[in-house]
Amino acid sequence: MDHASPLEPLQELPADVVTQSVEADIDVPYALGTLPDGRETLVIGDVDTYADYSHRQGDNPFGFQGTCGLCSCEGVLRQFGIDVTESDVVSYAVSHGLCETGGDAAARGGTTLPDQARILSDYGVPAHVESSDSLEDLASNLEQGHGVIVAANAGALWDDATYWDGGRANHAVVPIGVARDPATGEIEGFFVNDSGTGESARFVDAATMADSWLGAGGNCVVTDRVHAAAPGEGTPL
Amino acid sequence: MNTADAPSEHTRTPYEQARKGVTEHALRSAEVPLEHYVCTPLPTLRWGTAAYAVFAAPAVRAPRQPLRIGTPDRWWAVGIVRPRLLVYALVSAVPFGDAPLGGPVTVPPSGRPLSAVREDQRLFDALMDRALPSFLAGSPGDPDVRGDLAATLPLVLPRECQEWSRALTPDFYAWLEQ
Repeated sequence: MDHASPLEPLQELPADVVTQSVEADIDVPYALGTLPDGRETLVIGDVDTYADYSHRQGDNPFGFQGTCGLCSCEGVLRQFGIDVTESDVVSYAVSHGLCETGGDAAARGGTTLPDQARILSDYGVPAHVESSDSLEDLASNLEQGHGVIVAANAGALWDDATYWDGGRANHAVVPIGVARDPATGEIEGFFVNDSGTGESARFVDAATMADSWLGAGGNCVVTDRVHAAAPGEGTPL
Repeated sequence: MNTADAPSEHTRTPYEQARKGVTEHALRSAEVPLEHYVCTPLPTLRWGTAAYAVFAAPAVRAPRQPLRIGTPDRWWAVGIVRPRLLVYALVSAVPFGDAPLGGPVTVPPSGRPLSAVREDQRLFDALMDRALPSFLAGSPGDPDVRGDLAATLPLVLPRECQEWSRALTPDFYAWLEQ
């Protein structure tokens, strides 16, 4: 794992932390953690486990580098216990016409959101495309245990003007957890696996996520199923 | 220049809103790979009706690396008066230019902060709103506005892509550079 864990060891919530309204809708593990700036936060989702399901895109025998959508599919499938590699998913997509295979060799491998939903479904994890206009929708999906791929703007996500492209969606990433203020329940950000950078469980603050995802149209792929809780993790603290 | 259905100021959507409508059209998520580069929409009357046209091309992005854009493989146009999809085509089926498009191209990092690039876009959007009525009416319009627009265009559409853009909306470039 090449990421810094946002999670501290599981601990009892302090008596003065009121998260009832948040907890009521959480069906995934959660624990207190620490944000990069040192603030305490409520980390919702099996972030440590899912962080392992990320790597830098382009690890396939076809030489395709435009595979953020396919790597995102790989990551979501692994969340559901399906042991696939980028090569497996790229091979499947190529053989079923579910990714771009023409033009500049390096840029091949691109997918539409319906392509991604179809790939997940074909592997046994039915999924659909959604549009949203709020971060709470995304948080709700993650807190209920759905796997999600978001269509983001790479320039906003990476703070790199080269890839801003007018703010349009141009990159797929996998959010794997939510960070909420322990006292108010307000969304502070999301933990994201990004095959473009190879980063796992990178904390993306709420403003940046809103800019890069909602600002780019708010489209995403959401699994119909939710994750089965891992042994010992079914009951939150 | 055909100006038969040039929109009045009352019917034309502000460029910023129209730009998002064209590049975030349902077609975009259904047919165009997410990773594709989609150019800034530019106006044209080449099909006898006022439209915004864009091309899309495969692209590779990696942080702090140049943007690599392949040869455009598709294009589409949305009406300006009525924001309906007018045409969507793969270049292999319906080319948008007479000459081969060439590519791929490499766009080096500008080194500019994201905030500056957003401001460039805001300025371009405002200039388009000032320039469009003249272009659509077939009149030269204010030369200063055209000059500012021509100077701002490379900030929102990389120079490396402009030959493709020129092939897609030749009448707009002819108007801009008259």
